Amino acid sequence: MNPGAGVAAFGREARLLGAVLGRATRALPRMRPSDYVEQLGRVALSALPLVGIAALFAGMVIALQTSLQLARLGMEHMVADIVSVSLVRELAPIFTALLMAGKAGAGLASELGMVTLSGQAQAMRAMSLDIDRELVAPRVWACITGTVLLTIAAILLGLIGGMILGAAKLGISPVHYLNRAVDALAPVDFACGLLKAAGFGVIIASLGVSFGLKDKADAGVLGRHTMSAVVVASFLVLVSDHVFTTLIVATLG
Amino acid sequence: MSAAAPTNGAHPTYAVRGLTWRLGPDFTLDVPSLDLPAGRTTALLGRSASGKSTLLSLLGRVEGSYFERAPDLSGEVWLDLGDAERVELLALSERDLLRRRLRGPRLGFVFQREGLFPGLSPVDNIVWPLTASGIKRAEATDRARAMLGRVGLPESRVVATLSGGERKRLGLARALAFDPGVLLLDEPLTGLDPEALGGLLELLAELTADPARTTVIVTHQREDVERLADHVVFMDRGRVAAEGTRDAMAERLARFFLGEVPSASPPTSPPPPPSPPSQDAP
Repeated sequence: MNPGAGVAAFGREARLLGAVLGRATRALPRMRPSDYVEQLGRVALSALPLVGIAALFAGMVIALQTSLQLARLGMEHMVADIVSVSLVRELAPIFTALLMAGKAGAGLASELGMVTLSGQAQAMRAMSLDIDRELVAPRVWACITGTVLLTIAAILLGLIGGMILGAAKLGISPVHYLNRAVDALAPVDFACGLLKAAGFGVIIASLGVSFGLKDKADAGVLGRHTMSAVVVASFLVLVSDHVFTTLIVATLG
Repeated sequence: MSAAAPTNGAHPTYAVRGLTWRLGPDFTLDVPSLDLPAGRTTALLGRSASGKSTLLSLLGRVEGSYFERAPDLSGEVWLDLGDAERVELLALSERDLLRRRLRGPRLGFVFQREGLFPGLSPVDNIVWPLTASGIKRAEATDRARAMLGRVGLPESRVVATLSGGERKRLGLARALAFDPGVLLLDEPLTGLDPEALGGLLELLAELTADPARTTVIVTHQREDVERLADHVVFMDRGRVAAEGTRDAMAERLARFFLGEVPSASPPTSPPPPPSPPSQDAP
């Protein structure tokens, strides 16, 4: 692909993402709360075991790795501080988003892809069924809020994982560990982590929906669109992490 | 209904003017002028890929995709429902169409791919669009059950397990449940077993006989034309090759079903469009 065509394709994709977000926002007042709650259950509750277990083990690994480095300096008592801040500001939002890109992003792209491929989307238009209200808005807003809620769960379970590792391997009492963790965290850390989680949710939801609702000729295209939704969302989550962090630090300090 | 019934002098339900839609390097839908009579059934005939379903999708405004309406589309498609609701369909955005609720309640569309909702029961496949258009659930359920009875489909079936013919019947029942004034049917009877075909043909004949209803049907089947159509339009390579009442087209129809498809003349610059009817304020 020549650079011009690449830029044009990027522009088209960016326009589609903007279209999905714009439509989801405009459809928000029309959205049925029950549809949103149903989708939130599908997105967040179904991913909770996956994200929770991953966060628990990630907390343990971070605590272990950090303690090994801090031991050289004789500062193992600071494990809780470092684990908690890194989890809240960076790691929990990132790995929750990557897991959500694989689960919710792929789910959105494949589910809506089947709606498109089987002619349901066209049939909905033919019967004045509002696709934005019925399909897009509940999924987009559930994915965004679900990513934030799961990030909160990942933070809590990651801290618990670090606490377990600290008690089992480093001899740090759970109470001491939690006290250090809480003291180390400031409101700005939570704002940084949760704002990023919301941004990642926007990326995952809009990519999943846009790839899902693109025209597709056969199941092969559906598979490629689903894969693209996951790969592009994961890539953009990692790239945008730097952008979000820079913006949030510049704004909130 | 008699195929030779005189026109009633009213505005045509559809007036297509200067319509062109370039769908690729090898295919352009090009319909300079075409009127589809009110209260009649028009059959769109032609080879595969001659533009019949494409034209039908424009009449029902279901062309394009969720993200963008068809690019390279120009012209006018005037819809006159005979009740002061005279609109130029191509000028309406997707949002206008949703707000006016033309599609579904006024324009019933039956697709080749039925577009059924597999997660819903047959009854709910019909009830959901009805309730979304403002009909109360109890009334919608009654209508859905009555429609399923008319097409001979049990309520208890699971949509994912329906056969091809049963899917066709449910798709038809769903469109008919609105009792729309315009029915747009894209090969609605293809792939049915003889028993189901006979029953549904009877049902369509009864529905299309209503002088208040205009029907456009894309078909390849002689029986559909003989039983249903008053007016015939032959399409060829995106253009109208011939059109007229079924009686006037009798000879061409006979040759068509023997494999001789009328050819469209090479494209010419479209005549200036007639002064369009005034569009009502939304």
